[in-house]
This record gives sequence, C-alpha cells and structure tokens, in this order.
Amino acid sequence: MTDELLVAAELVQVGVRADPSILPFETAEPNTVTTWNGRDVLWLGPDEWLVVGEQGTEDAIRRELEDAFAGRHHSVVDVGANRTVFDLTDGLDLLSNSCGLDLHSSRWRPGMCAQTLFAQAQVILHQRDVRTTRIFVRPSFADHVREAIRVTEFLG
Amino acid sequence: MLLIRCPWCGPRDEVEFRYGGQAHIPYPQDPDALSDEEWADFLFMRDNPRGPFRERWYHVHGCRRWFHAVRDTSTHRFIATYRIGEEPPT
Amino acid sequence: MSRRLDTGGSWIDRSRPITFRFDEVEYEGFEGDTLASALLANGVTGGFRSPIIGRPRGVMTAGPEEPNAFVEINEPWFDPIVAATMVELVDGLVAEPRAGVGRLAAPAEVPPVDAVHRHIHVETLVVGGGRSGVKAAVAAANRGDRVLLLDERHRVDNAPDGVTVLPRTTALGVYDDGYVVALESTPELERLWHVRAGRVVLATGATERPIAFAGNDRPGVMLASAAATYLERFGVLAGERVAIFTTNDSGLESADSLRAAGAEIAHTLGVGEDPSTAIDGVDLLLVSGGWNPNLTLWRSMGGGLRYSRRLATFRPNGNGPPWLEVVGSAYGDGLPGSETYWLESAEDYSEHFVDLQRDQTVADIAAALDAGLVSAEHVKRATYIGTAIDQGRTSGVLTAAIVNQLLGTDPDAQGPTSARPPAVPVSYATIAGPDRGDLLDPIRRTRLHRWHEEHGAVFEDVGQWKRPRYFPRHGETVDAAVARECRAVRNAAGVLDASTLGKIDVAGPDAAAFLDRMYTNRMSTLPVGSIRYGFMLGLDGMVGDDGVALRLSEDHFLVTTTTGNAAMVLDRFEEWLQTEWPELRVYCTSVTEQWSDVAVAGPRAREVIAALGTDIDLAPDAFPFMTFRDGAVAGVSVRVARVSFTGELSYEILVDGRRGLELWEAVMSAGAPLGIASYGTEAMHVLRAEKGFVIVGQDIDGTVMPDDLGMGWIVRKEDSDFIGRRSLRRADSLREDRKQLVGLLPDRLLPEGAQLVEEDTGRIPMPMIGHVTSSYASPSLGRPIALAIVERGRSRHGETVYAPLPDGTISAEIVPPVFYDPEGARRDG
Repeated sequence: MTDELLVAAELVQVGVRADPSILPFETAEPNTVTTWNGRDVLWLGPDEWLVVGEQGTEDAIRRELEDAFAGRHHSVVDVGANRTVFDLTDGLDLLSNSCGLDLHSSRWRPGMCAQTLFAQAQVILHQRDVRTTRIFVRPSFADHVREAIRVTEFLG
Repeated sequence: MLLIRCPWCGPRDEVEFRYGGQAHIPYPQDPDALSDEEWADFLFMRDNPRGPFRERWYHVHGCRRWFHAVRDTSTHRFIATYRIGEEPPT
Repeated sequence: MSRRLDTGGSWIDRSRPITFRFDEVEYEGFEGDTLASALLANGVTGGFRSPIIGRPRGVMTAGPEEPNAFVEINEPWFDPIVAATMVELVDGLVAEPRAGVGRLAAPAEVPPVDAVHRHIHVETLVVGGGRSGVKAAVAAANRGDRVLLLDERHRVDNAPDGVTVLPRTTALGVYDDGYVVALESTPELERLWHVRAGRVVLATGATERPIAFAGNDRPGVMLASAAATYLERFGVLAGERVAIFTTNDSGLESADSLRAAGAEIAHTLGVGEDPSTAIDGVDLLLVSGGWNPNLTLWRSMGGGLRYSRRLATFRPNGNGPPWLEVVGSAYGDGLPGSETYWLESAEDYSEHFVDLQRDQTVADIAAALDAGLVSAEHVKRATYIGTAIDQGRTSGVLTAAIVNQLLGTDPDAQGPTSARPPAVPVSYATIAGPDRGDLLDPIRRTRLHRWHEEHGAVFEDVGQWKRPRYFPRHGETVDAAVARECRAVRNAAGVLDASTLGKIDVAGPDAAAFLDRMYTNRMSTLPVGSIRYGFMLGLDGMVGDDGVALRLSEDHFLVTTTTGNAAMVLDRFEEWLQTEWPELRVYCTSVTEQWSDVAVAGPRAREVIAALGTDIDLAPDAFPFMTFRDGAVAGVSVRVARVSFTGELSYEILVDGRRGLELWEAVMSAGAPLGIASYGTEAMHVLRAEKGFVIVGQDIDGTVMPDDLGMGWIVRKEDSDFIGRRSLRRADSLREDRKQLVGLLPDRLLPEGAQLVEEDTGRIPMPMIGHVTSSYASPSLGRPIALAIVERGRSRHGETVYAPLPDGTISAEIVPPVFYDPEGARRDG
C-alpha cells in the first residue's frame, strides 16, 4: 500500500539565496509557497528559497534567475540531486506519528511549507492540495523515511 | 519538551533547535591585544544567573536562522525571542 | 460461589460471555468486566500475596490505586505485571498472580509489541472523563477549541460530541508548555500520544484514603467506594455480611448501596472504634478514611498544595503554570468532609499497613522517625513507601499525615512526597515506538549502496552512514581483502565511493574573505581552477575539520568537509555569518548529496579516465595536481579534481548524484582490463597512513593543533585573523613538551589507543608520554606501522618507545610520520 500512497517525483530544484528586495518572484510570509511562471517557490528562510519546476526546465529557471540578479549579490545553485521528492496522499495522520508539527487541517493548509523533523530525519514538507503532501528529503535519508512511513502505516 | 517561538517560523518543539549559550558576547575587536587570561575568559566564562537570561538559539532543523531569546533559567519559560541585530526587550 | 447479581452492571454486556484463566483455573466473565471484577464475581476474594512478607492479599480497590492484585498476562498478549483492576477482560485471557516484580520474558515467548506514537495539537486537553472533565471539555469545544479528552478507564460515559475522546489512555506526565505524554493501551496496540495543548485541565478526580489499623491488608478489606463501583458497574456484590469503618458520609453511602442490593450491614464503625471487634462472620470490611485529590500531574509542574481541615487532606493552592488548572474533585469540589483520623491507636503497629505494595506499616514509619529521619522525603527513602507501581496513590497522604501525627506536629506540617513520571508503568518498547531496530537512528546510504552490496561489501558505520569497509572476494579474510585492495591502488588503480564527504557551495563578493577567516590558510589567494587543502580550527586553536576548497570563480567556491563534520561545518559557517559578520556578502548552500564522488586512484588512474572517454586534457602539465577541470567523462558532465588521499595519482570525479551509479559502473567497466578494484575505508585508512596523512577523528581528537602535527605550514604567516589564531599563541600552545605526531615502526601490530612509555622496566607508576592514534599492517612496506602523538615527538626520531599491554610489551622505533614515497613522487603517476 505504501507504493500507492507514496510516489517519487522527478523534479528540477534550484536553491536561491538573495535579498528579498531583488527577487524576480513574489514571496509571502515565512513557510508559504508562491508560484512563479508555473514553478513552486518554497520559503526556506528570510533569504533562502527553493524553486521547484518540471523536469527539463532547470536551464531556463537558472537563466531567468541569473538575468534577474545580474550584478547583485545572490546565489543560484542546482540542487536537483540534493533532495529526493515524494508525494504522499492522505498522509497527514501518518506523518503525525513521527512529526511534531501541527498538521491539523485547521492549521496546516494547502500552500504551506515547513522544514522540520520526521522520524529524526530533516525534511521539507509542502502541502500541495488538501490531499497531497510533498516531502523533500536528502537521498541518503530516503530509505529511512520510506521505511518509517511503511512501518507506521502498517501498525496504524 | 519546550515550545520555542522562532521569530520566523513561530512555535516549534525544542528538538528542532540547538542552544547557543549566552548572548551579546561579541568577538573581540583585537584578539592579539588580550592576555591569555582575557582570551580564556572570552572563550569559556559565561554568566549563570537565576532568572531572565539572554541567550542565543539556532533553529537548526527548521529555517536555520540564529536568534536571541530572554528565558527564565529557573522556570524554563521563554519571556521573549528577538532577531539578531534587534534590541533585547527590557 | 458467584457474587454476580442477576441484574445490574452498567459496564457489562451479559450477552457476551468471556472465558479466561487465572492461576490455572478457568472462569467466566462478561465483556466490559475488568479481570478484578470478573474474579470477584466468581467469588475469588484472595488469590494474591504481598511481595515481601508473603501475606495473603485480595482486590482492595477498583482502579489504578490497587496495591495488591497484580498479575502477569500471558495470553493473548504478554504483560509482565499489571493491576487486575486495570485489565480489560478479553476472551482467552490467561493471567497469573504476581507479587513485587515482573518477570522479563524470553524473546521467543513474546511477539514484538506493536507500538506507535502520535503527535496531536489541541487548544484544550482534559485529563479525566468524569463529570467535571466532560463539562470542561464541552465548554472548551463550545468556545471553538480543538479538544482532547483522556480517561484511563476503558469507557467514558456521556462522551461529548465535538471532542476527541480517548478511553484507555493515561497521562504519564505533564511537561513544559502544555506538553503531555499519554499512554493509550488496548489489547492490540500501545500508542504513545504526544500532546501539545494550549491549556491542560486536570479533572483527575480523587482517590479514597484507607485507614491504618491492625490487619487492614487482609483479603476482604476493600475501599468502600470500590465495593460500590463493583456493584454499579459490574453487578458484583463483593460481600454478603458487611462491616463499614468510615470517617465520612461517603463511606456510609457506599454501604447503603450494598444494603440496597441485598447485603447485610453487620457493623458500622467510626473514628476511635476498633475494627477487630467487628469482623467475626463478616466477609467484607469496607474502609473509608476520606478522599485525596489526585494531584500528581499538578505537582509535577510545580503546582502547590494547601491543607484543608474540612476534607482532612491536601488540595491545590492555585500556584502553578498559567496554562494548567485543576477542576472537580481533584480540586476538592464535592468531596465529603472527613474527621481527621489516620490510624487506629494500638500498642503494636506492625500490622497497620500503610503501603501494601511495599509491605510497610506504621511501625516502619515509626522506626524511621526513631532513627532521626524527620522529613517525609527521608521516610520515603528509608521505607520505599510510595515508590511501587501504585506510586503511593493510597499511601502518600496517609504517610505524611502519620509522620505529622507521630512527630506531634500539625496535620499540614508536611505534605505528601511527589510522584514521578510515568504515572503508570510503560514499557520501553512503547517509549521507543517505531524508533527501534533499523529505525532507531537513520541509516544513511549513498546512491552507490546497492552496487556495493551486490559486490559483497562489508560495511562500517561512519556516523549515520554505511560505508564499504572492504570488498572481500572468494571468502577472503579482512586482512587479505585489505591487502589486495591496497596493492591494487599502489600498482594499478582503485576506486572509492567518496560521496559522503560534505560539500558546501560558498558564493558572493566576500566569499574569499570569509573563507580566509574560517581557515588557517588563505583561500583568497587561490587561483580560479585550483584547489587548496585547509584546516578549520576551533576558537581554542584545536583542529576541528579539514577539507579542500575549489575556486570556481572570483566569487565562488566549492568547499569540502569530512563525512562526519559536514553538518557541523555548514552550521558553523552560518553561525558566524548570521551572528558576527552579517555585513559579509556570502551565501552558503549545502550540496553534499548534489554530487556523487567517484575517486579513482593509482598509477593507472589516468588510463582509466582516458578509457572512459573525456574531453579533458589529462596530460600532467595540462591538468596539474591540486587543480580541477569541468568537462565530460563517459558522456556525463563532471567536475574532476586532482586531489590525493593515497599519495597515488588520483582523480576525484564529482558528478550529479543522479548519475553517480552510471559513472561508477562505467569506471569499473573501463578499468577492468587495467586491473581496477573497488576499495573501502579500511584500505583508504592504510594507504593514507603510509603517507602520514592525518584523519580528523582518528589522529586529530580535538586536542591537537596544526604544529603538533608538523603542519605549521598550513597556518598563514600574514597578520590577518582567522578562527583560532589567538589560541595558537597561548602559553600552553607554545610549550616545548607538547605531544607531536610521529611514525612508529613496531615489532608487531600495535592496538590503537595503546599508551606509550619510555622504559621497558615495568616500574609503576610510569609516566605515559603519548599514545597510538592509527595502526595497520602495511602491505606496501610488508610490516606493521603506526602513527602516534608523543611528547617532544619530533626530537625523538630514532628512539625506542614501549607499549605495555596485558599480553606483553611491544617496542617501536620513532620515525618521521611518513613511510612510503616521502618525496611525493608517485603523485603524478
């Protein structure tokens, strides 16, 4: 059942660090996700974002960013291999087995993201819609996270 | 399990943070001008009051920002948190 | 003889009979019974023993305060020891009486406990599902709060809507900021709830207090309200000819309910009367000494107590955290007034039991006081009163009161000792939950892990990572495999998965200046396209980490760290940038797993890369040592760095992590005809030790400075500050007798950590002048070698030192710390 619940996604990820005043995309409060020309932009810190796009769009994203930042202090880093991405369906109760974040639907809504711990591994969570939680985790921790989800799903 | 209010992320469980010791001890302007005793003092000597204490905290498993806090060392209660560079509350 | 009445019992379902075994006898009960109620229904009034002196005992209460009726459950699950009053009766239950200590079951007997955890956030948590608890929960839900209501019993009557209700759930402890850990225990599963509540309402009720009198521990002596509970909930009449000994009206009410069900109340006794006069022919003696609010959780968060003369007990005094409140009978509301009466006067108090689970009596308290212990806390430690599974629920207040009375002080002079979490026993398996076995601590694997596994790698733990230690072939021993791998690297080529090393992208106009402040050598003078090896010190001047920096452009570096310190180094970078130097324009980004690192080393390494096909000019003068090139290898976009940890010609190929396996397999394939072998951390350790290259965490242990290692060259000469610089000039750093890195040529293999002494005389004591930090059988030299740190080591070359060991002393010659190719001639292949 875990295979249906938890699906790996192949995505482009670009790490962006810059002063908020020079960003080419809109950004909202901490731990929220905005969109930029079809990409998700996840807030990771007051000067740090993760741009997530469809496979194959990495060059375009980087070009647009470099153009926007031209001449000003910034960092654009390809991190597409630095995290594995899973989409988890109807999984908030499951995540609550091993995660201390308030994931109740009244507090954790689509468009929110958070860096936190799940089963002792650092993850980024992005609630994409009411049913889908996107999980970003370092590839070296991916087996552990998958296994933690499988075990708690099995035990209920 | 303390509940700590990160200035950016809001309240999170203590396990997401790392303690950073006493706040507002700047790196010396001219370390060479310090005697070995003064240098050791900077490295190792810290206050240990009972009551409100200004501390550094690091949201290591969250937004990875450092911030400051005023915390009561006898009750564990956080009185305030504030960003690096902001004035501590009175 | 059945004590079950034909009608009544609000908790039982008479249409669902249950068969169970107790002490090897089969009985029947109903769904809804506890084990205790079912035993009483079957006329089992005794059946238990006291743990220390073996006195006969029986069920005394109807709840977690039970001090006597403990059982081991064997079917359908295993529980080493639990109160029968808290065991929900299920079909096929097999239980036997246990006194004192539970038995650890052998693993084969016990299936692994299924235990999970769950985190939940609510605005209001109510502990206790009685009338007051339900009322508080409803009020909170009406305010719009998310509400969780817990109750330790297996039912909550009148459970409200709009509230999450958890029966069978006990709050184990209340912690800072409304964090409550609660144990939900069902026959199938144990779940540990981690609750974060904005406010916590303790509706934990009150527990009836016994009275201390001679023989108050015998089977047939029961708390008055317990008998009433057995009647009301389970339709069980615990006795037919009953005596009641009470200080308050509730005792009389309990007796009345039994009378209404058909019992004869033979005697009614009050304060000052002697119960031993009233028990002939009586099969049930009900006792009520008053009611104690249940305040363990209140007190655990520093909540205070005050004495109530009317109730003859302690209640909350309102001084506690603002988010914690006590309601209902736990606050003292609705409790009957009671006469102040703790014990029946007698000459001999040796059978006036106070803590039945510890077999402690009033005589034991008196003995502690006679020994000069006047504090209730000391009496507790001397007698163990209050420390058993029931955690003093029936003995706590009574003990404090008796201490006050025997010392001649006021009833409120000392209060009861506090109880500690967990409020009820909880197994370690439940506390661990899913975090056990492989999930205890995350196991980290590189993307090449499956290849390593398929090729027989034996792994070792490096922090959380699994790294191949060696790759035995055809049943090789570890020594044979390591020797073969070393020879392959020295004579042909070897390939190592170095992906675990930390990698940090450092970018910005002040990146170079920043790195100059963090490292001992100056990265700002590094040409673009070149690589520099550096030390990062702590403020105390000790070497913290080592790594290389690649200069990608004027403002852009890729910095590597050791595997174990990757997170630490990035954290330190951020700490200094955020807290001390916010004016520096630098951004750091972790790219540790963005890149796989396939490290090819050996005299034929260049041929391997060439065989893969590359657009990089591999000629030594086109691609010198300590430079890097971006290009393609085997059709894959890569960054190739000429760094060497083995002393051989070496290319570390950094490739997008998603293509790491592809590149690795291409390397193995192209290298096969050239004699390539995969090698692991063990061979890596040997090869670098032969060259005298130090390892953080091995030769560098947090007490070592660059000059101690003979690496003063790595510290810049210019007068510019870096982390740790001031400490290098402390008097202690300049001592002439500091321990220094040396090589050792021992007559046989030394154990790492072996202490070194100057004489082989066996004189005790003998000053230790150093220790062995690394030790290996060197295939290149065909003999054992070692690295060590020794006082004044650099001035001792040629001297002999000794390592006294249990099985004999090993002698070793001190030599410079490089054994193989000291000129470094093999570096260019």
